[in-house]
Amino acid sequence: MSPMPDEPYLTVKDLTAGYGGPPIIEGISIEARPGAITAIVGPNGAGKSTLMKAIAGVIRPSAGEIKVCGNATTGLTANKLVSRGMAYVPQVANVFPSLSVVENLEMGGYTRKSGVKARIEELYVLFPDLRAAARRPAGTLSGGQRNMLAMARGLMSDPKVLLVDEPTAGMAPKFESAVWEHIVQVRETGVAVLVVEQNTRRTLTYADWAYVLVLGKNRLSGSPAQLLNDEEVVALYIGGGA
Amino acid sequence: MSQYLIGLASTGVILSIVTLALNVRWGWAGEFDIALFAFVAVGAYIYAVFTLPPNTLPAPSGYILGLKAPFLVGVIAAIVVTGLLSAAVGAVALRKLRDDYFGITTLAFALILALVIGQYTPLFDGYEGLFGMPQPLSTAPPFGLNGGNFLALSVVFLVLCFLVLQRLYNSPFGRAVRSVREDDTASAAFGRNVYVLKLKAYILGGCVAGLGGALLAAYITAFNPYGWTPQETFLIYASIFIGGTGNAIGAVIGTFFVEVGVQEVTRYVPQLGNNASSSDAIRLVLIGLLITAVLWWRPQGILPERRARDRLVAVGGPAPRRRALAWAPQRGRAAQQAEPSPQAVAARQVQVEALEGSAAAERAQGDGTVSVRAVQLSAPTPSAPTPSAPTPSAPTPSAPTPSVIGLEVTGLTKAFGGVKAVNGASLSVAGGSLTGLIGPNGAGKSTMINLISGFESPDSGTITFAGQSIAGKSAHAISRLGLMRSFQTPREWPGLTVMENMLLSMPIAGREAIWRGLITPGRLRAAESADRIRARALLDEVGLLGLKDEPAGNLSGGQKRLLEFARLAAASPRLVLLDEPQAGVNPVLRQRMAELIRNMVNGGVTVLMVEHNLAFLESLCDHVIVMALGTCIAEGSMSELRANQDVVDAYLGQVNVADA
Amino acid sequence: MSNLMLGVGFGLVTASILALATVPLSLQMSVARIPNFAHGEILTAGAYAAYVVNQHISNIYLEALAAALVGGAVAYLMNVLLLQPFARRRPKLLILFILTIAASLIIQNLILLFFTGNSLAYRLPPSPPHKIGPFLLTGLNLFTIAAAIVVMIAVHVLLKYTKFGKAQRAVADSKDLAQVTGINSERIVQVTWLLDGLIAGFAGFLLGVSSGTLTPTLGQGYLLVIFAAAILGGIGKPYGAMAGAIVIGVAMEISALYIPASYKEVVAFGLLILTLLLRPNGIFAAPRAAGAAGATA
Repeated sequence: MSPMPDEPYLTVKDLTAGYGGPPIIEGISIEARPGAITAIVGPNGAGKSTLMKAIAGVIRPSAGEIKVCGNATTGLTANKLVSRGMAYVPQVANVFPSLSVVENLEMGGYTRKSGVKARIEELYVLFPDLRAAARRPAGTLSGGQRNMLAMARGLMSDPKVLLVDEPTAGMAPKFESAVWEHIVQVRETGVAVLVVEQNTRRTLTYADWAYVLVLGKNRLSGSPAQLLNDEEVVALYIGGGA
Repeated sequence: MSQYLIGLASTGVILSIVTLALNVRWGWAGEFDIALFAFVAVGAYIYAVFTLPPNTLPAPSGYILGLKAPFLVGVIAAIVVTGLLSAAVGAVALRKLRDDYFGITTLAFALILALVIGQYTPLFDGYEGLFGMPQPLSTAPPFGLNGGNFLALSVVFLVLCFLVLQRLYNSPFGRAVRSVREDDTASAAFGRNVYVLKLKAYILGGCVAGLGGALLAAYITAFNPYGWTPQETFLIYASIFIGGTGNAIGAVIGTFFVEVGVQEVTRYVPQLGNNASSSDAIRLVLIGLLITAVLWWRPQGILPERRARDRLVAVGGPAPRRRALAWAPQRGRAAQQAEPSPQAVAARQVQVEALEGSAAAERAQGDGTVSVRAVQLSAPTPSAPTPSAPTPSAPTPSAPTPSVIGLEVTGLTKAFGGVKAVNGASLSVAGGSLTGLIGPNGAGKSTMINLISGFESPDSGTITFAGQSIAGKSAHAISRLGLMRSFQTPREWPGLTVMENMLLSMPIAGREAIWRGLITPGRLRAAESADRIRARALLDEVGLLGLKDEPAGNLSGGQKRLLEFARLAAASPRLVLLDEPQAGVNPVLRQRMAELIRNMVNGGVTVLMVEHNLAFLESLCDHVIVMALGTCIAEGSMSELRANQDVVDAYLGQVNVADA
Repeated sequence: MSNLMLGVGFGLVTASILALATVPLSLQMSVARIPNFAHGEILTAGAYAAYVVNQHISNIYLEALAAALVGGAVAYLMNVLLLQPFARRRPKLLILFILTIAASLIIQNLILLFFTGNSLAYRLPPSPPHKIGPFLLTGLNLFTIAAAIVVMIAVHVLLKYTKFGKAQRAVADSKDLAQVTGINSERIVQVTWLLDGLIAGFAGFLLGVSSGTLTPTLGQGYLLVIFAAAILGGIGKPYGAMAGAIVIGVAMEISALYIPASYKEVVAFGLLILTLLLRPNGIFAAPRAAGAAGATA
């Protein structure tokens, strides 16, 4: 039942969603392939976070279709998606502050039938800082460590698709590389990583594929090499284009 | 009339007064006060204190003054003392507490009071209570002996109370209190001290409760702490929920339904077994179920709050010409204008609706709000200056010269939990200019707006406006200086009509004092007529005149934005901060919005606009400031900024970051 | 000095009952966001259930069990039948609070209906006080304190070491994040209410036998004192609730040495008002809730 290699783990078709008023995103179609980092970038107000929340089941799309490994997941509430192979790492409020680091990880493994402890060990290898802080309440971690913990928590369920919303937000620039290193390592394990990010250029140096969202619509997509030097991208952000 | 019926009627009438008191606190101001009955009790006791003869209690008791004062003195004393007590409790409890904690705090005060009065017997003889309070007119013909006289007197008080409260409700004061209930942030943004308003409402409610208490004491001629428990307050709440929150007649109906109707019906339920309290118990279970049922099926009650009617009192002779959008300060001046013809109003209305395009999706989904959209009559035209629009031009000669008010910010810093949202930012806005403020997410733009408008106070730095330092001033004080702002999502007062929203946005100039509402309502109404005319003109400009009597909450998102503009105009501001004005607005309406913003500036108002939609901003602003990571990194025209590598880097991010 | 110690001793008993009544409220508020105004009625229901059992079989353990089960049922049903249906409409939190007030009216008066308003004597066979250190405590006192300690330890173990307990704390931290992690938040909330009722019912039983008489207002009379302890200790922190109960309990009993005993509760109410105004997050937390880090601009 596992998909052929290179078949996208995540397919989104014509997705439209909002918060009850006019739709924030309209007609978005994207794909995320295994062992690849797919980036969603775009200027403010583009709807990047909204897109992620709609895929993650946090908000209900008003139109469109979402499939994880061929199984339709449109309209499912967030907690059911974990067992379908999707994990979501929100931008804010992404850890349980009063639970310890290891307890946060255990929560990530909530839907696992077995092997929670083993999986935690594997993740400690990927995120060594977490082992040192294992017993500390997550609320005492720094912003960067929290984002690490949030990502590790997402990986606890062995997801096929990992959605990460602005992992470097609010972080000092020197920590951004560390975060990206981890994301690259996650990619190496075969997970399809979908990342929303603000720092467009930096993201494009790591991503394997990127979509540029502007005002709720998918305006451009392509390989980072194409997009990095494209004048059109610059124009989308600060105007001055056609 | 039999004594029994007189008794029922008296109970209903007196408790209606108590319900009216709760209506002021809960219905007008949204204060979930559980201590109400304690204030009623205090009123009763004070009435006793003043009207009982000396030597009422076993000595020593200096608390019963033994004045044997006449009825009215006792009543007035009750009102005054409960007013003072309300001031004391309210001053403490109304400081920013969430609703449920506020309720609990008032309950705690009430229980302390009950305990002290019950336990400290020298005060009012504890749980024994007081007896022998005089009932006025009880011995006089024709109906004295069976209480009929007193019933008539109580009815007089109820009617007086009702009329006075209605007068205040319809006055600017009443409107201001209701605005606090609807959205206190918007009230503060339009110059109101929310805390003081809530306190005034709390005290007013307390005074009425004290009146009710005095009458209760006079009616029963006895009073003890067993008669006043939190349960009594909940019965009054039940009366209000069922009768209609915010509706005075509903309050009376609800009181008779609950306190008389349900009370009597359950009295006739046969006693269950040996249980002497069975009918009491059934009654209260019924009340609990009724409250639940009302909240589920009809939360507004039998008679919902009445929609304010917009009526003009006759004003002076008509002026033949219409003025341009009156942005310049017009305080105290009656702007004489001819009313736009009904056809023009309808045409405008259709225009706006057409501009909104296929905004059917904008409407709320199935929440029962009335659709205010008429059928579209014409396709949206892309650049549609309305045919009857006055050309945006320099202000008319008789308007005062717009003062060139600028804004100066230096070294502003604000941190939230260790993260510096604004980090030593400095900017200056030239008076009379239309300046843009842009920057990527996390740059600190919203925080900057909040700091300037007083919704946050800076950790350090200065903000100078109109020659004054405003850093750290409260939001309502800053808006009174003429510095106003819009919000990312428009904040209107949803339960109030569009016209009321406009009236609330006009400069306050002392109109909202309680005494004015009470004593000079006629003069206020005349002065307000001028405001209403001005409001109509402003609403017409934005195409919302046809909706002036709709609750503002029923408007679509785009219409709420337009209303926000009209309200800002009404406030006659000197400087306006616009926070993403075109967010959530469809492209065709955006054109209209751009016009309105240009009009604003042409009218002499300085504008600082935060926007993400750079095309929109570029069409309006000659001068743009860029913020990133909490500081202002560049300024100039958009083309200059585009050529600025720092700005491009801020937006697109940097690849090679110094790794420490 | 020995009077003070006696006061502290009584304080410990009061604190034990209070702790048993406060911890469940704290748990409930951690998932419901509003205080349950009918919390006192859960205690009352438990006390009357134990009384009923007592009329047939005199067995303190069965009585305690009956109290817990009835309390659990009342709390569970209150949430499932009343609060969750309303909550789906996303009303203002105040509306949910008002509903708990309506529930308290209904439950209290149903008890009044079935048991009359007369005080029911609920006494265990008297036992002589024992001298334990500087304290003078009866058998019932000792049972109460022991029971409180056992239940506290059990709650601690449950929250700290079981999967449910951790999930409960997760939901209390953030219902949304818990959903995203795969936890069925609504189910956890329901079980939390059940647990709340079980412990509160048992607390009601102890309250009943300790005071010796039952009236339908038994629990409600205690309500604000329980709130005081819960808010002082910090909502959602069961350990804080225990600390808050000890502070309030001991403060009340010690104050009874200096002011007339009937004013004990004024002390608790005064502390409640002060805490709500000055430290609404409890004395162990920061004065003002730290805003969400990194306000978006």
